[in-house]
Amino acid sequence: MSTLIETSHLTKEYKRGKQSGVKAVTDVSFALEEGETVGLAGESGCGKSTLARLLVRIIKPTSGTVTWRNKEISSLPEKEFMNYRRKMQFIFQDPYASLNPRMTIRDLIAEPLVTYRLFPDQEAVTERVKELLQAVGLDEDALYRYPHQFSGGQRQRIGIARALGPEPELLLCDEPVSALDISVQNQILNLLMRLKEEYHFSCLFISHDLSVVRHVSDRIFVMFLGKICEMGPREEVLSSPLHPYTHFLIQAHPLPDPHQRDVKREILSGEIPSPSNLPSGCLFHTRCPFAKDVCAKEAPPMKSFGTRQVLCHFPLHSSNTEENPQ
Amino acid sequence: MKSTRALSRANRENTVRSVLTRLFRENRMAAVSFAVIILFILAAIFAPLLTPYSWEEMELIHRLNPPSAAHLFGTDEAGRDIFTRMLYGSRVSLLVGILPSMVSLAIGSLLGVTAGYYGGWLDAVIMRLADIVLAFPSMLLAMVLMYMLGGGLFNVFLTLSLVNWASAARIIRAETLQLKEREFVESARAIGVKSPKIIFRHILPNCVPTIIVLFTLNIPDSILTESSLSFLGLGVQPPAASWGLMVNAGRQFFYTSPWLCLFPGMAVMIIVLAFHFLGDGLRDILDPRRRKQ
Repeated sequence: MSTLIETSHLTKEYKRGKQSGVKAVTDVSFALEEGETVGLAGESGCGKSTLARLLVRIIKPTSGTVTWRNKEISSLPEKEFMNYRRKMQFIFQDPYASLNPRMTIRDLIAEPLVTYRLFPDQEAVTERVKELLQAVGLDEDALYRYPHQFSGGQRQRIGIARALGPEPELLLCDEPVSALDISVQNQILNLLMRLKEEYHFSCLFISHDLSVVRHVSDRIFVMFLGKICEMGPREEVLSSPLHPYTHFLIQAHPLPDPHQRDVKREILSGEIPSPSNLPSGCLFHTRCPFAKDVCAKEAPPMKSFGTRQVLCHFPLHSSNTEENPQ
Repeated sequence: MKSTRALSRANRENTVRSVLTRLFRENRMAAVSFAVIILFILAAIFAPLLTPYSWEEMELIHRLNPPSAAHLFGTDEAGRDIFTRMLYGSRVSLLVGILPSMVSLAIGSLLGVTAGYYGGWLDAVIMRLADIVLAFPSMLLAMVLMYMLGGGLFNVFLTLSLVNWASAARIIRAETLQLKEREFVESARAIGVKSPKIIFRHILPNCVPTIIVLFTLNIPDSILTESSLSFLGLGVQPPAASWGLMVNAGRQFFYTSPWLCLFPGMAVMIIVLAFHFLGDGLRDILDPRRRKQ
């Protein structure tokens, strides 16, 4: 497996005048391997969506680099960057808001195809749109209809067809199912996994819903206040989290079992620090029950434990895994 | 299902013809209004064929005659046939109502959407310019412009276009600011669609309802501003006729001979209402969400 996309020290800061601004994403470095699906989990406002938007330059990063197959692409001029846009397609959260209400389904799905000039003429584009509709399980009837004539699940299928058209190598899914009913969520997730088999793309799957993340991911990244605090294979992260934040995130997840209603769960108290006024040292120390003096003073380094990485001075469960120095 | 398919094929393009057929099928009021507007325009074009009188010839023995078989809408203080003068006056009033509204809306929409979409210094410059225009009472501004440019129909057009763009620019800018944060615009940006294309395919089409409403609101404004300018001797000059001019001229005879203002005034009202209903209907039909299935 080779690395598909890699970020190094990616940062986005929204400045307010001359004061130090809001840090939406701080110093994020990760690598996404070819063919894998990474689940990006974290609470609202932690910078998950911003991170994905930085990759496709919907938002421009303040600093840091993005590398695509060992080629730095974050400083490319827009014209050359278009070649990479084609390879990275985006699926949005809200299927009601992400489709222009005044365009037909045909035009919506054709938009990326036309933008990248993938087909010689309009007929060829229409043919491709028909194929795509079929691939996502919609009728050819849909071609000249408008988004408002479809249900949420159908619209998300249209969004997927739109993203699939240019045959991307990386699909960025920004909470693609969180606006849908549970039953429809499942259909869409299964569709995405089936298409992944068929089209062999990698996937960065953003969700705040751990059960969705568990369902689709090979690896999980956990984000907190603009930083990735833990990365590792799905089962290991969920069963024995290294970062205290991951631990509490899992604890906070509701159990779909009424018999376990009385099981005592550890719930964090306190408020999330404001991103415009970040705490010193480890970002989590203000709420972390395991925090020691050093946590308030020094920002922890990213530590590696085999396939796992964690941003913490005192990782949980670390006694059974050996830290491997880098 | 079959009918839906036929309909969706018909919906494929918003050609003038398909819009008109749908207008007549779905919105009776808009269709009637459209017919009224066409009727007025035809009457303006074929004015000489519709009346035996001349618009400027005075027959002083017949001054201030009430409506009769010979003079359908009566005669004015100089004995001129009011119906005839209205026919000729409609040429001025219709043009003055429609053309400057279109021009000022085109200017206003383009500037507004540019300011809203690009922001930054461009936004600042355009909006300060609009503020300057809006800071003066529009009547005063029109008078100054007319005074500088001199009278005549073309200058009336120019003046009205230059006066009215600012409010349109403001409204379209506000709409753009809201639209550009919508996810479908973000989605187009993620694909890499160029800014001008985003403006013309994603933002402006979603401003259409607002633009149509602005257009219908602008028409009576323009007709009335023209009449005020003419009244002040800055617009169309007597003895030429425009509806506004006729209403103004008839004011002094209102208690004794109300038909002098009544008929031109009603013409203004009818054409304004017709544009309003047509605008309403067009807005509904051009919006896929409101389309009847």
